[in-house]
Amino acid sequence: MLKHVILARFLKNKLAAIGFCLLIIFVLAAIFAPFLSGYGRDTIDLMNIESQPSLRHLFGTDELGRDVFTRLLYGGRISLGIAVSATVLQLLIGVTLGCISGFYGGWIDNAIMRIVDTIMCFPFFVIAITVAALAGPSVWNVILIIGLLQWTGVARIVRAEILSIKQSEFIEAARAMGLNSFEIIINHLLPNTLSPVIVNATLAVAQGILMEAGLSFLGLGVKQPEPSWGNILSAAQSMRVLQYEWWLWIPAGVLVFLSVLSINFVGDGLRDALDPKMNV
Amino acid sequence: MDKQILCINNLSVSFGEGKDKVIAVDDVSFAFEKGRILGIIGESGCGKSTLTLSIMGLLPDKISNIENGEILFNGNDLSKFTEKQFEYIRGNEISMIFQEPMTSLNPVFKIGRQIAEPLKIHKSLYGRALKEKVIEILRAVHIPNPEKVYNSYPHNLSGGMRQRVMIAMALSCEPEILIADEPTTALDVTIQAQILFLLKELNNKVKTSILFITHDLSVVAEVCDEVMVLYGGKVVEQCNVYELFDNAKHPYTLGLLDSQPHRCESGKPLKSIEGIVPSLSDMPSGCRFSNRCSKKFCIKCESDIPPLFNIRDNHKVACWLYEEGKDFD
Repeated sequence: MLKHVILARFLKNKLAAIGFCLLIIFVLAAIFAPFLSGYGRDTIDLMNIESQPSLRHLFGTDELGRDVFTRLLYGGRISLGIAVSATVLQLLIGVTLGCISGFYGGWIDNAIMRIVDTIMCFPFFVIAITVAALAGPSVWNVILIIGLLQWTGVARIVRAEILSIKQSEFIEAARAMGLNSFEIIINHLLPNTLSPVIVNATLAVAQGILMEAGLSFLGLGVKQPEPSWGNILSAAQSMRVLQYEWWLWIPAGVLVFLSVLSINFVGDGLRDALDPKMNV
Repeated sequence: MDKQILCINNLSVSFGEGKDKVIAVDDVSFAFEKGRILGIIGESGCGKSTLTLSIMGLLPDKISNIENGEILFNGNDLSKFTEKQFEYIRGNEISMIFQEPMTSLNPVFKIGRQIAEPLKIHKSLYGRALKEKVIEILRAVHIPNPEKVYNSYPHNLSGGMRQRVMIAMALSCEPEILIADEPTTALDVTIQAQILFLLKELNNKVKTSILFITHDLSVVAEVCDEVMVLYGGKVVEQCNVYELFDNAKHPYTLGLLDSQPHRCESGKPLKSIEGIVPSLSDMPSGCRFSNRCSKKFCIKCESDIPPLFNIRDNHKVACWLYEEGKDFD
């Protein structure tokens, strides 16, 4: 019954529903990329280098004669994959440390929160670029960089939630039933923090897409020939492409834009749907 | 009826350290027999809850400390137990129900799962057997339609139902002692009567001993066999329930009895004990009740702490009025 209420509230928000549909389409397109395009990811069509969009090449071809549409589909795999994996990494670190921090308090809490403060002080792109330059560009490095630098928000949210929930009587009651600290954290505290964490995770995926695009645009993220939306966009670094070959960068830009927007709408929708204080 | 399952000797519990240290429970001793219901009464802040939390090992260990004394449960001293040993005892051999049924259940889980939790931990029950046991327990606390309640969330239930669920949870592992910390304070009177009746019935049926904390004397009269009156962390009077209502001795107990609405003549203002409980940090040095006592009679009241005087079999009073050799009755 509760699930129905949440679903009904979510669908009532039209933007969230549209965003959700768009996302599903993007994800399915990325998964089924080989079936949607007749070309291979790196297939070169020497006869049609830098050709305009046509029926043969939906979004034209790039300077090596590769089909842009195909590369966008495969790029979606990488971009969305990085965003989701980085979010999972953030959640793992953030939720664990947030729980420990909130539950045990004292010097443990202090130590973890100072680490969080320190990481939050770093300007993200400066650190990310430095680390990426040192570690070398690759998919895994991008995931690690985003994950290791962005978990702080989740940690703070979880800590704050746990601080307030651990005072509840049902936690004391659970203790009186003989549960140990670990069981209390896993069985009672975590499930109560779930809704803000879900919302935060959604927005973190959007952030992840943007960061991947940013890093790859600068050549520090995903390396050619592997496509990602970010490194497809980086074609726009050349003035000639920017002015005369719009098909090389506008579709990728639009995809980044639409996916981030959709995820943010979904996040908003989820926040309203999961908020117990909202009226049905 | 003769077996002592809980025996507390000279227990003192303090909060804080150094200059800020206060004694919340001071030199409390009592023995508790199997199958009995012991009522602990007193105003707010007199150490009732601290006493029960120290039995459960749930005192916040950073700020509180068991100064001395022992808590013997079936011969084992709980005050020396480690956290691990307590986890075995809690919910299994000693369990507790709390005052606020509205907040004592986790709002995100179904009732069935929550009652199943102690059974999973202590009795290693799983699957079908577990579900059947949970429904059997729900039936034992007279919850109508237990199959439906099994799948309900706490917010689907009323306060009285939730308190029944809490009792079901506390009794699921058939503990030897049930500590009921003001279990009916948050409920209205009709529900209160049902819950008290239920506790009494379970006490008769499964022989669970109940430590009943309350500040409601009519509840004491209803359910308890024996009564202990606490004031400022000390026991001031200890006797069985009939003695308490017929033959109370301590001025504080008498004050409490006189403050009941039905003892008041109509048209006159309700009687009360003058003043408030002094804070633990500035208790009078002699008898702790001396600054509010209407029967204070000598300097001794203000300078020396009265010990518990035996005035009759199983009736003890801590008041200089009843010092040995004095004529009472």
